[in-house]
Amino acid sequence: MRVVYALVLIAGLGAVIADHLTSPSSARAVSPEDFAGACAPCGAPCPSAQKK
Amino acid sequence: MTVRSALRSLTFVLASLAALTFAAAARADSVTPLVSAEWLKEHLKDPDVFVLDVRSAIDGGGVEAYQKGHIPGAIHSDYDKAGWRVTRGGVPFMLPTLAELEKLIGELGIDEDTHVVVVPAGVHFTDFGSAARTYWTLKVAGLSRVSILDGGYAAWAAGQNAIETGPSKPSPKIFTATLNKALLAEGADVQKIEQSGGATLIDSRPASFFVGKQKAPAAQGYGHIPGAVNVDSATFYDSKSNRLKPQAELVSIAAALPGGPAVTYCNTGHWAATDWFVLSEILGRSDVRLYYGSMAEWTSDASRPLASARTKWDDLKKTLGFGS
Amino acid sequence: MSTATLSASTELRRLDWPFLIAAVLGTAVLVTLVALDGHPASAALVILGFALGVAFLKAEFSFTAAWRRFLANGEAGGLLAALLLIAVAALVIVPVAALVPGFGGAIAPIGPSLVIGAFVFGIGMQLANGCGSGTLYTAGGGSGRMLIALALFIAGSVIGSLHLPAFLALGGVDPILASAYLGPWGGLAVTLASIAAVALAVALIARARGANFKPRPLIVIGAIAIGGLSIGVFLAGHHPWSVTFGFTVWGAKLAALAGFDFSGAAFWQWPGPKRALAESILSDTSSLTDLGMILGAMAAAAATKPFARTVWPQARSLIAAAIGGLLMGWGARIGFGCNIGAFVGGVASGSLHGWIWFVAALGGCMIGIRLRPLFGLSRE
Repeated sequence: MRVVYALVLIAGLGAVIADHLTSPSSARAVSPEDFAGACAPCGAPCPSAQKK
Repeated sequence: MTVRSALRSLTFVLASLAALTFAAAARADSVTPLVSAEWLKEHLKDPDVFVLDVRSAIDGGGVEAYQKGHIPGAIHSDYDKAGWRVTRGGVPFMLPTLAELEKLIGELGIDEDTHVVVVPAGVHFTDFGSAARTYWTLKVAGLSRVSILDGGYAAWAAGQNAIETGPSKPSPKIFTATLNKALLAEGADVQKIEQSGGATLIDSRPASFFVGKQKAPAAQGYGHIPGAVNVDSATFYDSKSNRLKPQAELVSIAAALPGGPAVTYCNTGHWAATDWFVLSEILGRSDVRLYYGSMAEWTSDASRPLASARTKWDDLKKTLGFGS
Repeated sequence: MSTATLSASTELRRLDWPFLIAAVLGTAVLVTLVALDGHPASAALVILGFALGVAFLKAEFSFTAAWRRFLANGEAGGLLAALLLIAVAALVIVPVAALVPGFGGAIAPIGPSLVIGAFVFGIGMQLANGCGSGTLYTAGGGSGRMLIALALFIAGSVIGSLHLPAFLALGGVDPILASAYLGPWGGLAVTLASIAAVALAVALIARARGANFKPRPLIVIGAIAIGGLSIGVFLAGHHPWSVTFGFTVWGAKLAALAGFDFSGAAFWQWPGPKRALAESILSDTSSLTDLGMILGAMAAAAATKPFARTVWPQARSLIAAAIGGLLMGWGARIGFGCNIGAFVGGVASGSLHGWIWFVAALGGCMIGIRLRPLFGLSRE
């Protein structure tokens, strides 16, 4: 199990670092709620908006 | 009147008309966007020809280089310092106001009838841009007879032509400017184009600026205006001969661009002046404008978008001191 | 597998150095990357996540086991501690979300999507033996079984993201937020009152079933600490602590790398998810706290005893973990979050959806508890 953990840890951190360094520059931290008019943390539109 | 004398008068009138027409045509033909050193040597003493030496720190020269040697009769105006570009609203290298232009141009001794020949140093594609931007500014101010000396002062000096030394001695004239808006684009125009099209945006900077790996100090963000195509002004220039490339080559480079209206830009409207000059003046494309504020003006508003391939790795390299 | 012989004289020999160093180093790297990128708040979120991992592991703060014990025999200590945690967080979240621009609470539309998602999550959490926070701290703490649950949690949440728009189309009403009707302080009062009312009901049920309802001191301390840390997460991230959105982003990025095209998925055209997918993992607040929490739990576990030196459980148990993880992932996306994002976040924000999520999830737990023996897991 230790070996699995070591591999997952290295692969996971490596993936995170690689994703970060290849991502577009200068973005400010995006929260799931980082936008106007959304009705849920994931950005789902409001039922009232959808009925229109 | 006898038939013979009538015929003589008629011949005289026709000959004069022909001579005038020929002279007029020759005069119109003589105002080409580019002139050669040979042409200038021939026309140096023409009363309407005005040689404007624009050497500045950008080409490593400036007024000292001018005083050490210049084309006889040339007047010097430092492209970088004389006021061809001003800071307005916190944005540097912008077009001066019409009143400022009247003063700058008039004090040099240029008026509406002058045929100005702009002379760069002739050492680099960037210094050609100085001449192109000066040419553009003169045309925006309403002058219609402007040319650039192909190869610049270097071409004149290499041709074993006469050289003068000493300070510049302008004879000021009264110049009335008329703004030629068809040649320029403002930030609001470009914003509209970015959002809904209508013209091709041409980014005249080297590729590293276009993709966002590098930026000019005057620009506050990395990358290019979304939708722009990259045509580095250096591609139009032959660095070995220090002249623009031959017409045929310019045509084939520009053939890759979409037709229709175009707006050129760069960081401060300098390199973009070369692209504008080639497309509008040499290749004769209609509706080519220069966004003179360029990236310096575009990025002064943080809400305007930028497209770039810049990654956080680039940012990290810059933070750690080994990137740009 | 060898067992380590521990010397009573040296505490230091109890430390599992490789994993302790790896966890701390990993955290330092993440903190450095975001700090150098100019985002101190992001650095704070990683560190707060780390602290949450330590707190959860040390206090063994489990929602899943607490709810199971309550449903199975009425024992209410853990559940009451969770309510205390929420009350602590609410003290700051309700008023600040209402008063300070740029801050928002956790809200969600109320309808079939919420109820179905929460119910399915409830089933899953009992099969997996952990919920959102539970999966993070146990997986980080060295349980290989929970690594499997986490992997399937990630997969399930991507699938859920593809289904959510259809479930939203089933209908519902806009979020109901106490502070929107009663102002910041009225909203806080109603929120605290609702927590107190539920706590009272829970305690009465416990007493009626002859079970204990006094939480152990360690759990109470844990609840207060975690409540305080979640306030920190709220202040740094400008919205309540969220766990499962991070998983959805990780899974989607992996899928995109493998060639999956999200341009046809409505969820991934919404502004938040679209940006999260296009930008760095470390620009997503949920991912930052998740990563910090895994590493914090790892560090705390490695500082206590040999790390991950247990045997793998039976296949049945692992299958339960996988199914549970998948159901939790899917349910969290459909139900607008997990126990942390929807229950703690929702109730602590004064949003009615938090309580509805809670009740529906409890219903799912009842089913999940019944299914546990099939996989060799205990009923309580």
